[in-house]
Amino acid sequence: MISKLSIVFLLLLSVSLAQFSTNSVNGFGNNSHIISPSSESMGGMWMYNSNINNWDPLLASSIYKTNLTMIAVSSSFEGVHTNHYKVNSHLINSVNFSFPINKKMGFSIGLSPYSRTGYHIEDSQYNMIGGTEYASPLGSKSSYNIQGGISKLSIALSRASFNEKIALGFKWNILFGNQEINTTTSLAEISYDQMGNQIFTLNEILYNYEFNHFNGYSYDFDSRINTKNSSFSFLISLLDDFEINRNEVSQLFSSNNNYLFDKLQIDELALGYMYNKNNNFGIALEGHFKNNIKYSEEVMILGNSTPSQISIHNGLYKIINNARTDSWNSINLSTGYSYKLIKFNEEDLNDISFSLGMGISFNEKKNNINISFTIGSRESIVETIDRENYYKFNMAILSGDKWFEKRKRD
Amino acid sequence: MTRIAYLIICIIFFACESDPIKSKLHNGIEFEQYTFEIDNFTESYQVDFQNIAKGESNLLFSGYIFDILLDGTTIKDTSRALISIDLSKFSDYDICSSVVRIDPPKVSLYSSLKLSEIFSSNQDDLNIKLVSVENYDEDQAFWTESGIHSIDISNVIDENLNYSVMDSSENELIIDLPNSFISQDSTALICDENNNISLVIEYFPNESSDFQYIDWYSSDFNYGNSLTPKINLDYTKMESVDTTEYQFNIDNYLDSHSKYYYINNILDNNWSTTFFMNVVGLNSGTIDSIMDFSSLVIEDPLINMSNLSTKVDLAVLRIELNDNPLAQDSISQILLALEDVIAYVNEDDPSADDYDGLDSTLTDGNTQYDILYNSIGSIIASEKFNDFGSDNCENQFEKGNGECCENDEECVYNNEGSENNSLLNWLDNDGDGLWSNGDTGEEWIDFGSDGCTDEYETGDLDNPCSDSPDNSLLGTDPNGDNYNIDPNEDNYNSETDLGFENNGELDWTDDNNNEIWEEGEGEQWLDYGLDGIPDTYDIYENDKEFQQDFEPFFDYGLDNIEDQSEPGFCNSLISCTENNFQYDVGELNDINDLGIDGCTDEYEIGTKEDPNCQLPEDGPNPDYVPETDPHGDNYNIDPNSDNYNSVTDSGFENNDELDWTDGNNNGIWDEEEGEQWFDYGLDQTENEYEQYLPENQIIVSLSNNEYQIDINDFSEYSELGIPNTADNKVALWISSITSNAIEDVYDLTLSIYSERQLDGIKLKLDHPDDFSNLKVSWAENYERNYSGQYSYVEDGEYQDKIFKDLSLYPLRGLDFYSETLPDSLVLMNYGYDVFCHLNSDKFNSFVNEHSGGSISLQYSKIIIPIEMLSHDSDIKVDIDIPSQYLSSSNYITESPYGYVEYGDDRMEIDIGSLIQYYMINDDIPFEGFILRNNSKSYNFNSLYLNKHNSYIQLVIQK
Repeated sequence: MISKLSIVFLLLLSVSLAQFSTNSVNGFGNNSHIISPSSESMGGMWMYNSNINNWDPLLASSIYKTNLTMIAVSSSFEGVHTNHYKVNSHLINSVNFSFPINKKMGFSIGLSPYSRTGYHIEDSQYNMIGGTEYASPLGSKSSYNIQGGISKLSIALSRASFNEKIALGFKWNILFGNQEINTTTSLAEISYDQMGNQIFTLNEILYNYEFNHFNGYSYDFDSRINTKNSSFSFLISLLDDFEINRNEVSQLFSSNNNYLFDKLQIDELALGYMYNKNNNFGIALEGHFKNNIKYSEEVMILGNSTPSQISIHNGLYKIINNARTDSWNSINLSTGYSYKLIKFNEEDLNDISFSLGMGISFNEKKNNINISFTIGSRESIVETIDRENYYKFNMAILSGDKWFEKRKRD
Repeated sequence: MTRIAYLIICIIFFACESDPIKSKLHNGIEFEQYTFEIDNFTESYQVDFQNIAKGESNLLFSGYIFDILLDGTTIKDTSRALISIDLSKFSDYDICSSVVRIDPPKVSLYSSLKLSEIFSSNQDDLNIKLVSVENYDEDQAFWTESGIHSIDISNVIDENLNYSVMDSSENELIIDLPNSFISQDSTALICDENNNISLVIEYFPNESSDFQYIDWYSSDFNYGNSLTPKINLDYTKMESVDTTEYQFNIDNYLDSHSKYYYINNILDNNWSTTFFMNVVGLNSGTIDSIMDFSSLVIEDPLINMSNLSTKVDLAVLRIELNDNPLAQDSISQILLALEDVIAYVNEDDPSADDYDGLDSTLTDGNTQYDILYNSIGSIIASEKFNDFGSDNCENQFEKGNGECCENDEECVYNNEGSENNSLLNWLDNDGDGLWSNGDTGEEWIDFGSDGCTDEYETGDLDNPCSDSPDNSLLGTDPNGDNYNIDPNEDNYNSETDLGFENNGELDWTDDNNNEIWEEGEGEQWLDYGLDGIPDTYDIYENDKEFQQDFEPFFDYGLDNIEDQSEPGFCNSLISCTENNFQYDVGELNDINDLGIDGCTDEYEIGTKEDPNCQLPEDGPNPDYVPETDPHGDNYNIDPNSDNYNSVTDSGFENNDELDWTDGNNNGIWDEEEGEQWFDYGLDQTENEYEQYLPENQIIVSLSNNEYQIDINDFSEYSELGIPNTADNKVALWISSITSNAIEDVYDLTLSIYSERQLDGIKLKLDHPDDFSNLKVSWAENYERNYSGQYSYVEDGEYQDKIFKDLSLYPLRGLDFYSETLPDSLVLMNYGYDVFCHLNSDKFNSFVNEHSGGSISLQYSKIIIPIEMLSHDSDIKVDIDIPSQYLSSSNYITESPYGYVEYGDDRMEIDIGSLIQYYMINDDIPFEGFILRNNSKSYNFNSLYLNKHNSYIQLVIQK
């Protein structure tokens, strides 16, 4: 049983930085699809995982598959290394509570980030501002402090039909949160020494501050069709009624603006296939599409719109059961890889990752601990950065019990 | 185990880096610099005369206003100041209803000119009329199509009002208004709406006058209210005033047993303090302060053997009630007490420290100098001595030959003398910063703090100067103290037009004709092109042609070395003191420390009051008496040279040690034995004065010390018994209180009982509780006079102006100037409302299409060359702003502006904040700038701007 203390502890740690990538200083920050370690270890899948029965608290259509009331917490520790910088970060991925309604229906409520920031970035060098016939050249150097993000409160309902040949899941997500963007720019006059070296003389500092308050909704629908040894999955996520209240201070002036985007749009789309040799081994393939959010650029970080992403994910798992009941019940092992294409307006960037994972189930399979480790490398939108090499260590603790069991009368 | 797991998790998580990430960002904030040429988009404008209003000008003008056209033609018109006062604004004040008295009001006007100079020759030039005019608004347009004002000022009520220039302020004119503005009985100001005051100020000077017009600060002058027109009101009204006074006064002491001295200044904190003692040479009466016991001598004890242990009536203290009837009415009881009572004992040895021949702790008179040490050997007390050195006299009384002087003539101490004071005493009469002939006082040489010029310098700062010169060292500065800001002597001199460094031009000779700079070809330049940044491959970059306007070059002269890098450069006035054109310590030779008179004693002639010097060629003063100082200017603070020197640990005066040699071994100090000491014991006090030491003073018993006088029902008080004397055996009390109804006074008998002989006693008559009894307070109506100047009345938080004012003059049209105004120039004139409209479609579109982001406040400006100002005065140019601009930010208090000083070649106006405002507020369209002269200076000064090379510079976020 997970102690309350550990949950509080992990929640406190959630105030820390989000994973930084030069590719995610756009939109509303890093809005990677949150998945559990058992999915991460199979190449970052959204719909398949290495758990027994493919149960996953974050996948709506799978919630009915357990007869236990479950509490799940997952966290990750991540690092990015480039030829310019090295950043480590840690964050809470999700907190989830689910329970069965009957054998074919389940319900869950959870909290997870939709997009995150937590960046303090400084320009590594001055940007040149060309002179004119009347004016000398200048240099500008900015620092950015971007904090906050959008959280997602999810309420999900799962139902199986046709003897569990078909499973459906629906998730209603309430998006909310705040974000602060502080930028400070130093303007310096450029002069030269006789060796031609540039000398910067600081002359002015400019301030800009933005505070965004977010409200919105999204809807996830996922389904799975099971055959004897195979299953096919489909997931779609839609954004709706997204509202931003913004207070902006530019130098000496401030302004307040309200933005409402009430047009329904596709946020995520996924298709998947899994082959199960038996209950203990499977291999899966998924294709993902993450849409770029088609909101006005002026509401996004530094006016940068999000890129869209297309990716394929391939992974397999193996479950080893223990016949002894007084010890661990089963161990699952999994591995996978993914290939993403991040499509900015200017260029497409690739992102390749490889992942390994392991999970252990104990206490009559009521409790699980899953871990995954992913390493990857991706191209950066910043020309001067060769590649961003990253790693992720994910851990989830799942604990369940029967809370609402009917007792038979004698 | 669980704790270890938590610890590991903590270590993992908190190992994360939190330093800022240093990286370039995709589409991070970047700025661009823009230049918009506005040569063809600046024009002079003037609206129709009927729409021009100038009532909000900061200045009013009386006299001849004139302007000079570009062709030299002078235009001259007459301006009158119209000033109106709305007395109804006072209607809510007492002054309009009933006061005791009010004088006819006066009006104060303030000018930037010294009015006393203007009116010193002829006061008739100024004419002030009281007129009746139709009601008008300041912001009303009142000029006709022909430029003539339409306000009728011909209805004159009173002509030639009296006026004067304020004695204390040469800029303030006082105008006397007639009696018609106050009631006939002079008890109210007439505050009717129909009784408003309108003054026309006319000024018609002679053509030869230096002052052809007078400017007056108007009621709209927005630098506070100190210079705006004022109405001066002098009136008296009844007012209730709170008064506080003491209940009674000390009248006198009667029937005194001894001499007495008391303080009777009611403002003194020691008021009523009284001493009963018989001081030699000091008669009874009042004294100014507490007595100084250090030198007084008592002739007879206050309590001696004859009246010991008996009741003695010291004196009768007579007090009288406060003579203010109102104060008396409030007094019913007076409570009295004796306080701060101290007695001084009459004994031979109050400190009981006289040596008895046996006890070594008794130090007074033991014929040896006593010092008391603590356990660690530090001195905690010693006998008194004169720390004056072996001569046993203070510096002020030293003779100079080791002896002590006895009169002023013999004493040579002088702490104000300028000769040999090691300080420079010099008056730089020609103001050149250096000693030169004609200067007064001591000659000094600008050879630096080392005290020598280059040829004497050794390079050894411990011994910086040699005795003999070495001319080969000239210019080499061995001690490194030469001040030199141009060692290679190549700086540009604007007067001679010689020199290359900092001449603003590239001095480069392409000796090998390869079109690029190479070493030895003079000043270096960088072929970076228009943007001034290398490797951007922009226009002119690497074109092998220097572009003076924008390509950087090093204006270091033909040596291509800037001053700071030239060998020998030093611009520090502190470290480089030779030839730095200022006096530094060390630059005054001892032989030149002659004093402000500039000559040594033997050359001094005249007196101290009328000093003169014998000319060097005439030789010393033949009447000089050796060893004398005719001018009394020899600085000497230790004539006998015996002061203690802490550095050398030598000298005796003020060394905190007794320097005494008992030459005759008699154990006591005798003449010629050094510093005198006094065998008074460790209390350092003679027996005669030991009674005044705090530890020897006697605390006197005061019995119950509560006395009461009932004013309305007085009954005599008497206490003839002896109070308890307590341990000190002395008691003091008021033994009786009687009333003298005829003189309306009360007599208090002070009695003392002592079982010890006393030299005196100190006491104070006071009250037990100051706040409830010592003072009385009451309210009383007084006539109170008010004299004030008013330019507005308070209306809540709003200041409601009393005045409205404007200048009346004929308008001149822009077409009048156009004949002499070429197309290349733009005219601006406040008085005629000619302004500049800067309207570039390209720039307007740029601003309107740019939304959000930041703009540089420092690098965003309008820059327009100035052709000329028609008058030799500075002006301020404002930009018209949107109505909400000032209220949109807490940090902005005024519109963008530029200052133009006479002689400036261009005008710069920072527009960053205004453009930022438009960028933030997308819904407010930007339609160009309107530039106007400000009215705080001469309103008819014409500013001519040159369109050519005028531009707007913007540094703005991409």
